[in-house]
Amino acid sequence: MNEYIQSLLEGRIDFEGQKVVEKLARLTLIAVTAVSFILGFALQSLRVTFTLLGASVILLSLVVLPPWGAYNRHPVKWLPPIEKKPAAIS
Amino acid sequence: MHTIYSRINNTSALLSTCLMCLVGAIAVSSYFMTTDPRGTIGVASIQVFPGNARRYVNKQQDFAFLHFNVSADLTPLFNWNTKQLFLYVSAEYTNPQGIRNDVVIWDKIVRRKEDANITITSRNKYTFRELSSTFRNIPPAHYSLKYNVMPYSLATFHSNMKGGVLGSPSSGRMTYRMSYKVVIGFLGGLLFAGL
Repeated sequence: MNEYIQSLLEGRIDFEGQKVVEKLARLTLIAVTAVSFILGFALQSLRVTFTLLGASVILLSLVVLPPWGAYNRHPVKWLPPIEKKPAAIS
Repeated sequence: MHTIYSRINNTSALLSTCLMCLVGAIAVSSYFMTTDPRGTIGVASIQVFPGNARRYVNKQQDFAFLHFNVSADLTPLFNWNTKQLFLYVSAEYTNPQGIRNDVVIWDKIVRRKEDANITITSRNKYTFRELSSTFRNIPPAHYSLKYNVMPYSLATFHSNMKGGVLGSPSSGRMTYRMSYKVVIGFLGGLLFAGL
């Protein structure tokens, strides 16, 4: 039970998921910053800039932060444990 | 990025970098949006009366009362990075001892673009008196309308709109074109040092 709660809190994802999340977060943040600057400049309104940025960040954190199933589709396949004891070297 | 904590950490680190760049870009963008607002200050009358200040009851002092009108269109100063404007009238004169005086006698804060087209007839808001207690032998003062732009993001602008030369105890009505000067503030320098 304790372990279950801990795994829920930690929200681990696999290596492939980590790669996807990192790329997604970086691309989205940089793109959204640029777009919100351009749009705010065009409309001459800081409110537009920061509303757009804030909304995008909330949306991004919903996509990126929780351990969605899509990020856990490539679990690490471990080799089977070796049963036999290796022969002693004489 | 393996646990939720490391994802929060990584994403918020990049977010703070993006925010700093955005705020810096906004500050930089306002350097390219220079305008040349026009305005006039006309002095209707200047009167000097002897009197007592409340603080120094036994001291006879001269008090100057200035009636003036200000008309200026400051709407071009409102771009996306403008929070508010500080508009003020100052009297500049050099007394016979050769000391330059710069007295702010009236001010106004303009918060919205809708209120930035200004036509005001007023008199000095703040007491206008000479340190030597009399305006006798004081050369004519130069009255000017000035403004400061207070932006949202860091860089502070200080600009002058010059008024005209007017006789100090006598009255006259004159209007002058404003000139425009931009001094980039200390905080602007700080921002670029930080980046």
